[in-house]
Amino acid sequence: MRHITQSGGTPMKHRASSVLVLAAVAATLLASGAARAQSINAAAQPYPERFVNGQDVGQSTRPVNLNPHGINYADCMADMVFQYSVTLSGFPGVNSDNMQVWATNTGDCTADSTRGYGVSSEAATCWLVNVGLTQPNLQSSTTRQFNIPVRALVGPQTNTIPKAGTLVGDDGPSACLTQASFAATSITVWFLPLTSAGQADSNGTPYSAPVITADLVGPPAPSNVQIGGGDTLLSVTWNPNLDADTAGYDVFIDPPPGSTDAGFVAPTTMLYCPDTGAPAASTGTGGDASSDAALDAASLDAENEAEAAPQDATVAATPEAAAVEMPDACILVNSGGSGLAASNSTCASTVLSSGTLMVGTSVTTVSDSGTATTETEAGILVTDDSGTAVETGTGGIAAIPCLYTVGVSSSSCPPASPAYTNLSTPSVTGEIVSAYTISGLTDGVPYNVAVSAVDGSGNVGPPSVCQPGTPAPVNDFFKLYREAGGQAGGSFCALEAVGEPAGAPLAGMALGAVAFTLARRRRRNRR
Amino acid sequence: MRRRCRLLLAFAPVAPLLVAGTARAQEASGEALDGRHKNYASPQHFSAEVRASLFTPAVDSDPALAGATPYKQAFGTSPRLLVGLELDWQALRIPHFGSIGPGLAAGYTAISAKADYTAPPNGPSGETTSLDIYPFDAMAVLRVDVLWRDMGIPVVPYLKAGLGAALWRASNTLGTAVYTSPTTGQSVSGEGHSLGTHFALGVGFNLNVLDEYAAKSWDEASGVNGTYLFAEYTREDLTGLGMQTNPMRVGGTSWTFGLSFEF
Repeated sequence: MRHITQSGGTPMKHRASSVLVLAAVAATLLASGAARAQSINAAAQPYPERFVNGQDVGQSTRPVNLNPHGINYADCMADMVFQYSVTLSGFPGVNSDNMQVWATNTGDCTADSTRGYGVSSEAATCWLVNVGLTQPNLQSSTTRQFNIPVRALVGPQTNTIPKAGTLVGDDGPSACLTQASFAATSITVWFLPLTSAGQADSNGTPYSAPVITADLVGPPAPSNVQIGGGDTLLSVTWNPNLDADTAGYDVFIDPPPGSTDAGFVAPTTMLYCPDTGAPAASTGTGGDASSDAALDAASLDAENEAEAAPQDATVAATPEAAAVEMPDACILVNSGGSGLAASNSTCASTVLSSGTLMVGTSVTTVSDSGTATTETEAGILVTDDSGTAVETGTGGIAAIPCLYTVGVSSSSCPPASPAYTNLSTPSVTGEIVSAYTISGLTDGVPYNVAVSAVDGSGNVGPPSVCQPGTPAPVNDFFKLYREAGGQAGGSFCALEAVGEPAGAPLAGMALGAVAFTLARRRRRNRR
Repeated sequence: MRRRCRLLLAFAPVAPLLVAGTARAQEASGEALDGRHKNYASPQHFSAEVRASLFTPAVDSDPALAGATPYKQAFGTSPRLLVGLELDWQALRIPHFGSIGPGLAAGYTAISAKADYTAPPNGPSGETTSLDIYPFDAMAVLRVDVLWRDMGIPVVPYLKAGLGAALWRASNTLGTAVYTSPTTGQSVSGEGHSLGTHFALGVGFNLNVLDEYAAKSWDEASGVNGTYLFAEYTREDLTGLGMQTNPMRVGGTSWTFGLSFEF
């Protein structure tokens, strides 16, 4: 009986203990599952908020037709910061996963090898742009902001990618020169749940933000720019580009229409300083007041960028000239000013001529002791950290002051800003467009004209060869006709016969139509 | 008296319409199916033309110019292409002779060249000077198709006469040209209209004879009874029609060629 009871009790006891074990296992699994189901999402606001100098400038600073959610050269030079709002959940805290932000231009960062784990660092295709959160305790949905400098996104595209787990360094404005050609690249930002060792956790759900189109180089300049004079106008023609990048053209003229000072144009400058030492506050480029003013404007920009300035900014001449190494000094790249424009055959504008990436006509070096040394050289280029001239001859950015752009609203062309900050549409839109008329000019005044191609991100490429032109009165047909004694004209409905009522011939025809209708009715009535 | 003349001129293009009803009655009796047309079932009431000519407006013939040739000076002597469309209503059929009815036509031509500089060294500038002309005509059209219908000779001579008008616009690179008198300071816009008469004499060659089977098939499919290749001497005298004192003479004479379709 006991046996039975025992025998009978033993299976029951085993069954009960089995249930308890199963329940414990299930509870453990559930708890474990809950802890490891890290979720990352930014569906509520997939595009980041943009900040410049700490100011929120919205999710876009460009028209919808100019790659509003992408990155262009102006974004990079402004040291824009992207702020992603990401919703996290399922991170239990201690002994749980980290969350990091990575970027790539090959599309994927979820595989460990793409982030440099298990492979040589040279083989990595992703780079760390924000260290994110370390073992966060975010069980329920919580929104956090993650800032990513634009320069951190675009900088490592062609440079050596930092070794695994190393945050991208701040390369300053030189990060904006890393794009090898005018073709745009795609950058994907990944929000990854990673183990404390930095490896992917297969139980977590990574999140990739919408692909960012980064384009830092304007398209090549159009060729065969020709100028034809007219009465208070210049007709500009060129051979349209055939590349896949050009979306329009900007036309530049020196002096600008309506300018009262056609004889001199202030130079534009770009100042680069090393991290140590203050940027040069004033450096003359000839003692002209206008150039000093321009320099001050450039210095302000430089102060904003001083922290991020390249450590070893170098200036090298074109292949024809020797490189100039100035690692311990501020470097002022002067794109020059214009003298009086030439009348017929020679283009005298140094503003519009020889346009290539970061081109200058002189370099002023200011040592720590304050001694300024100016070297004048045609076609000086800023180089990257490796000392290689970035300019390939097929792309670049127009550093022409924005005031020389025609056909662009002044509101989108801030004073003293270079052409690449033009945030509006180009002077003319469409790649196959090959002509533009600049009106409102003064007859007899010589002008210089250059044309730049503009890409779909608003980057203004290097200007074409500068061409001179001078508006002058012409004999158009109607002028010849009237001067010869012709009397016609006025409007389509103008009356040439004095006293004739308006529209007499039309009235006659209308009368005929009425008579015809009446005749038809009369004939029907007879039937 | 003068006004009466104008009224008559206004009636001229629509006069044939007054007897259109008679034409309908005759056609209903089956005469429209006479001759070679009996092979084709669809009725025939209209003719549409696609026209092209090499044209030079007679601007310089204006007596007000006193022999000056501003047109020639601005555009040279090369004729320009004038294209147009015309729709004729064959309102009245005259048995064993042809048809008569009203027609309307519209065309367009643009003449442009580089304007010369006024001061030495002169020569062409970068500015374009243009003259756009939009001629419109209302006319009576007489087609003598007895040769084709009764004798099988694929030739149809025709005559057109009526009123012509043209809108014109002189422009430059910046838009409509404006002339400002250096003496009065008054500005005149370079656009206007010119009135006059329209006359044309031509002959059409019926292309149906080249492929009668295809012609019949097309007739059955689309209702086009005959397709013609035509040549026409056109004269547009836009001298004002007595209503304008000094209109710009944007008419002229030209040889016009094209295709016409009767349906």
